[in-house]
Amino acid sequence: MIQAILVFNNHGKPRLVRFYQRFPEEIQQQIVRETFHLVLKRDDNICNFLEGGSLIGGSDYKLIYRHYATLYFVFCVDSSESELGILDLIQVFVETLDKCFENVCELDLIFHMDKVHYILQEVVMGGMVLETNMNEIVAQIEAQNRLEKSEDQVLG
Amino acid sequence: RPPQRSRGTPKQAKPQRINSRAQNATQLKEFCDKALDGYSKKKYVCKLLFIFLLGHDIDFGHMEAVNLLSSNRYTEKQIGYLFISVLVNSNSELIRLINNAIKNDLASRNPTFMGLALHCIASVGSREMAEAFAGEIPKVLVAGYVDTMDSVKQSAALCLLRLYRTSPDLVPMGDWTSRVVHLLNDQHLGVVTAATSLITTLAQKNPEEFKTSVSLAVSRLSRIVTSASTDLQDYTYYFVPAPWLSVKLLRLLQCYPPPDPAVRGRLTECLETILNKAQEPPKSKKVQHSNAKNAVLFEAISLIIHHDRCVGCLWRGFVSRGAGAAGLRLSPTLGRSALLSWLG
Repeated sequence: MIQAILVFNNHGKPRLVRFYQRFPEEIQQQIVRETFHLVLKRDDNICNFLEGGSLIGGSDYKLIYRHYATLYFVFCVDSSESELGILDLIQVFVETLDKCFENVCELDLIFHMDKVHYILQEVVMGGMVLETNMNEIVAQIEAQNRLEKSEDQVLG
Repeated sequence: RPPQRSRGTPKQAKPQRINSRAQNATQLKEFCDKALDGYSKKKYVCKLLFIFLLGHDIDFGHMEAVNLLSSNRYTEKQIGYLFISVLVNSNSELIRLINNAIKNDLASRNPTFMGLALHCIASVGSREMAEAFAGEIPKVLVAGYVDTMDSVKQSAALCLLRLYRTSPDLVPMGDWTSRVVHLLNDQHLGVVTAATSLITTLAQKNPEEFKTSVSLAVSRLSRIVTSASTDLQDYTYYFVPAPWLSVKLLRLLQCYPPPDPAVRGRLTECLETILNKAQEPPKSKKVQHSNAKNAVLFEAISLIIHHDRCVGCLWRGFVSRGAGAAGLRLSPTLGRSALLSWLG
């Protein structure tokens, strides 16, 4: 199960934070900060898996992350998930963002936060991997967009 | 491709978005008082979410978000549900209203609304939600609605899994278990993946109920592993057929001892195919290809070791071949120590 999905930039500013376990807000922010510090120290050619910090779960949990230019994508998972599978899932998520936003960049995540959440919701649900097929995800997002457009037209 | 900063959007735009709390309070008053159009409501809720993301407490706006849930407009419902899932709240009044809205959406037979409701239940996953819905979800999952969409089945399976994880006592076994096993034969691989995740967790506590899944899992796995790369099309990831599903099926098989000879023969063929493919020259230089291929390989080795422990020396040959195959071309993302401890 995925405990949390965090996306933050090279300065530690959170761009997407989704927890699938209940944590109070201050703890959530603390986890983001702690994760940022853990991940910032790593060189780009070191292993992408590391033990989670003390706040989020303990020894059963791992942080799996990928660094893309200005953003870190971090998934915190427990032992029931395959690490390599999650690594590839991050790639699927980013490629989907790229497809939906056309050359996605950090500003897209800031200004279209709701859209990013909706895309994430097609990939992960309640901490479980829902869909890995990028075409299927994009098709669902496009269906949502069409629904949105048709509502705007009908009801003005 | 790495994300790039887009040109032309000034950095000053960002501070403007982050209003002071005083401004928010006034805006919220507008939010409550006026009959705002859908676009404005969405805008306000988005702003609240963004502020929450940056670390400020949001103790207002919850009631308005709950009201959005009963809207008939998809976009309003969607943003209402998003707000609720992110800012989970233990206010009992609101929980009752939220559960009511969810109940209505689940019963609506509208797959989009059902999907939103299931998603919210899974994201929140609290005990109250489990109490309210743990009995309903299996019905949604296996109901004979001719028009139950694949996406609803997928969502329902994972939602049930989530509730089971938090409150296993509230999810009773029943007739639905045999129908869930049958989902392994579904045409839609997304449904199969979700069902496999669900069965794997349930089987750990109730192995007898899900015994029949073993042969279905083996036949599914063998169809995937022997398929040509054009067959699975969408689910093929960088030339590896359905890697996530393959890994999950292999995990499911690790919940049970080695199957009886008829099924075991098929499984052995599967595992041989996986090991052979691992030793072939890679079809792509991309690291994604080797990651996906290795993910399946490692899980196959894990299964072999599991069977080895159950049965003894019959599978030794496999283990040493697997180790050889795994030694090839470790991508930089794999620590050698991780691999060695895996082969343990």
